[in-house]
Amino acid sequence: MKKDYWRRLALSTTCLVTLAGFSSAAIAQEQVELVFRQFDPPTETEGLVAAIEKWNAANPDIQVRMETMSGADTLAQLAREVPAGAGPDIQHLAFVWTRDLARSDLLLELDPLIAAEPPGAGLDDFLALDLATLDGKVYGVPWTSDTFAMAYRPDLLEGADLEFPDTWEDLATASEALTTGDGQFGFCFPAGSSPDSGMWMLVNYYLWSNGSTLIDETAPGQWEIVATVEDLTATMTYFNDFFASGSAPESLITVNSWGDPELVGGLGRGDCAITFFPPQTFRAAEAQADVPLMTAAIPAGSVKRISHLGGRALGINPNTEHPEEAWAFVQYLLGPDTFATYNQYPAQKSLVAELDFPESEAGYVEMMPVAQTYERYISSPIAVSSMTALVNREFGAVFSGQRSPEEASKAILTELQDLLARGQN
Amino acid sequence: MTTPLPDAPAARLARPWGARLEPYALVLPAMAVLAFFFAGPAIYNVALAFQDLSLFDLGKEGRWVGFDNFAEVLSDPSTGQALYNTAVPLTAVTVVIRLVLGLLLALLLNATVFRRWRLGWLVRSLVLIPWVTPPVVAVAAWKWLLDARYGAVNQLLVGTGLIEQGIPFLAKTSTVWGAVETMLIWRELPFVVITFLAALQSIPSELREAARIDGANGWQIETRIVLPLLKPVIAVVTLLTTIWTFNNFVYVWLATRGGPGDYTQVLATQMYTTSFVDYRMGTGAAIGVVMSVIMFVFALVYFFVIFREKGEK
Amino acid sequence: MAMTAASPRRFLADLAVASFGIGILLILAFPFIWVVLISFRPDSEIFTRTFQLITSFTLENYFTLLDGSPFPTYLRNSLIVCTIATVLAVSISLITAYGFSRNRRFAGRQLLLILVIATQLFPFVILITPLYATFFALGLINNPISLVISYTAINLPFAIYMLLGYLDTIPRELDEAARIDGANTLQIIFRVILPVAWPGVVVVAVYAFVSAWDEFLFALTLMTSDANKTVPVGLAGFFGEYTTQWNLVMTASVISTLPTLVLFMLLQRKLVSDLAAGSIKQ
Repeated sequence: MKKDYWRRLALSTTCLVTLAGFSSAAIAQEQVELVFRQFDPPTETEGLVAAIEKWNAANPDIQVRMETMSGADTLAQLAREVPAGAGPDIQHLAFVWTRDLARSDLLLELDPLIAAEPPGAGLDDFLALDLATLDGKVYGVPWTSDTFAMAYRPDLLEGADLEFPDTWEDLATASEALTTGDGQFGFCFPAGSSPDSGMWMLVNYYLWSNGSTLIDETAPGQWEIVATVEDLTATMTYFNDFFASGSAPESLITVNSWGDPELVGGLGRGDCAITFFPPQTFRAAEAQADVPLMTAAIPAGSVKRISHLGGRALGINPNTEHPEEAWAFVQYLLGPDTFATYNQYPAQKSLVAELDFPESEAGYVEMMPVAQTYERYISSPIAVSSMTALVNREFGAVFSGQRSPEEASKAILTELQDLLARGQN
Repeated sequence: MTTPLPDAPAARLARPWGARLEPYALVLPAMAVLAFFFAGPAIYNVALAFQDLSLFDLGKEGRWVGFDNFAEVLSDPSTGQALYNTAVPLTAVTVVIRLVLGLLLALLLNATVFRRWRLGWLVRSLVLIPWVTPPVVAVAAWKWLLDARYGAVNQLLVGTGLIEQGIPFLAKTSTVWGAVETMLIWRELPFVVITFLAALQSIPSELREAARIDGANGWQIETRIVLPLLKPVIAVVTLLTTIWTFNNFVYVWLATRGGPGDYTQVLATQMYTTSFVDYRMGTGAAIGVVMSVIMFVFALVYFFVIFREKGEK
Repeated sequence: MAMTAASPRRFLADLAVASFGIGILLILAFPFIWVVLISFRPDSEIFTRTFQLITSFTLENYFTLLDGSPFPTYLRNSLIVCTIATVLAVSISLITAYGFSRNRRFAGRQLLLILVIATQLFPFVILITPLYATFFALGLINNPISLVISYTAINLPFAIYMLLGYLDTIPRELDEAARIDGANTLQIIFRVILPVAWPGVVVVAVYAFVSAWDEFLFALTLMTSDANKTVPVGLAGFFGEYTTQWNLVMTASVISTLPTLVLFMLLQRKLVSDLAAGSIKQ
């Protein structure tokens, strides 16, 4: 009886040891193995996988393994890994992360590598390089870029005899005209209260295009909250009116992502006539829709028309044992060969100029030149993620009737002041 | 082997040393695993609560700030609201409903008919279904079922003429808690049911028969005989579900992200956003410590009221 | 089945109870049935304007997932890790619970029981950072052993408390008899107590398995390479910033529920046959 028990124990221990064996066995090979971590889902990365396979076939000495980790989890994971001496060799980064990571030495300074072998057509060719630069040193290379544009159903607009609305006021009017009462709504947008809700984008487009902004550097090193209670109240009232007038469905108050089926499918089914999307989401919506979809410029405000320029950069882990090889691979990813199969807008002016945009993506072509990065927020003493969470929360409070636009605007300004004071400390 | 003998203390007295050391030997492996896994990290968590440290500087030592983080957390008016949300709508309401529904369902499913008709396996597998659904999918499915336009619940309500227009349950302050509670109870109920079922199965049927012969009716049997026998299991389930729910982050986060506005913000989501959105690990850890202290006090009180009584028996 | 002839009134009462019970369970299962239905739909038909159980029917989601995606690897990883962790958690906690149950007064008993509960108080999102550093120092990142250890540890406190509750209801006479027959303590635990406590052990095992099966944070943090990922992390991979493959998420979750259901049924079978055997002896 006793023997039997120990035999079983021994058996399970053996199992464990075998398990331990299997993961370490593969590493002991001569060639360099690099790990590249990215955060897009499999359906968006088929072209990237193809490009990496091509690299691996051409470079038997430098084999690259792609890892996927969702974007929301990546920052915290890097913050755990890099100080411990671990982490992937090459990291896919949202534009807005690079400086935060660089400030805490979680990214390798790239200047020596750039000096030895400059990327693409030279650094000046890259969009949004400012976001990847800290104290004059470069910590990431902008890789892909995107901006947002309005997406709509041309058939529904035609049916209502409407041109695509040019200004925010036109959008509100058109939205009401496009709302039919039998399940078709004029304008659908992610109005959720999540810290990462898409509402943040619309709020800033509206503020910026009307000449305001949440925070700005009024003199060198001197940061001030610029938006007034009136600015914010006007913005809140503007978006809340879509719900008040019934030209946007109330269920959007719980929708945070532009990739939500409520929006992607809504456009395809014709339940929404107009929404706003980044390019990848627009393509997903096109694939689902039976009728052609179109994009158009973001509505203009009283001062200008504007959207934000976002995208992803590539960074190298300071723990990597093979910085040269990693840099060679980064250069390959930046090159035209990758973009031949990887369906993304490159973050290099020369490559963007060569792109052939399909007609339906005209809205992006129009917005790209006027898009601006979140640089002014990123350089400020307040974490952009905190600002985003605060704004989304208070807009959600207005949409759900918990606070009036005035109360919510004051709440935003008070908390921004607190955040600014804390950040400057 | 199963012939019960009268109490035989001789066996134990014969090996005084073994008897004295044996309990420690028996609990040692578990304690070692728990100590390895929890002790260091728990101390780290407490230490972090006294520092000012950004998420990006986790590898470094933060600035020691004494009780500043706690002062900030405790003086923030949103903490009070989040504490209330955590304690009442999230925890108390769902724990009580789960216990009551779980007990009723377990009693129903323990009916002899399921055993006689050999439906036991079917019933117990059906019970399990909500629980084996991954939380992210369970919440997504519920969000869609509750959707104002496309959701089956609203389509059914509108179809039967009960309401005229679909209700966006998660967007309205009047219904959002009910919706979140429904999701949580739905997915967590099976745990309570199968735990109670297992306890019910271990109650010998002779006890019921005897009571019946003594003239007790069905209700009396369940409340006077069965319920007291379930007490130890109910006690454990109540304690653990309370702690788990109080610390639970998943349901609120997936269903509402604390919204609309901050209407469903709970301590766990507040801790998460403080740590990973505001990147303030020290303050986040302080919220975590506050939560731990509250639950520890609860557990201690509970432990001494419930388990003492049992230990002395 | 011969019983049904006993009395028509009894049969009707039985039928009422059975259909009521199963009816309630089917209503409870409906959201999951909905998930199953969506897994057979194309992405564009997740939402329909009117209530439809069946729209167009496609097996494509299942093909995509099982053929040409790493999902089967994730399933295998989850199965291995969760099974080993469950066996470990149940065995260790059974020994521990026996120690607590049969020794009511050893010094430190109360304190240890409180410490076990205290492990449940701390939030994992904070504990994970030092644990990552520890496992990295031990060379166990991207090694399933770190997950096995984590899931064993996470499940122990609950398992100990639950089993303690069940063991307390088992008469000590059973142990004493076995001891007189010459069995040592481990033999008593696994040969005498385990069969009697089986209903409770099944619950604890299923709990441990389900919570390991659903666990996300540790799997995400400790297993970063595709070859080692588990199902929940694989599921999370379908959620992108720009797009989410909801139909694949639904399909993946339908597939991922099967192992737990099968495990539970297998354990239940054993339970039923044991109880039957017990009643024959009596």
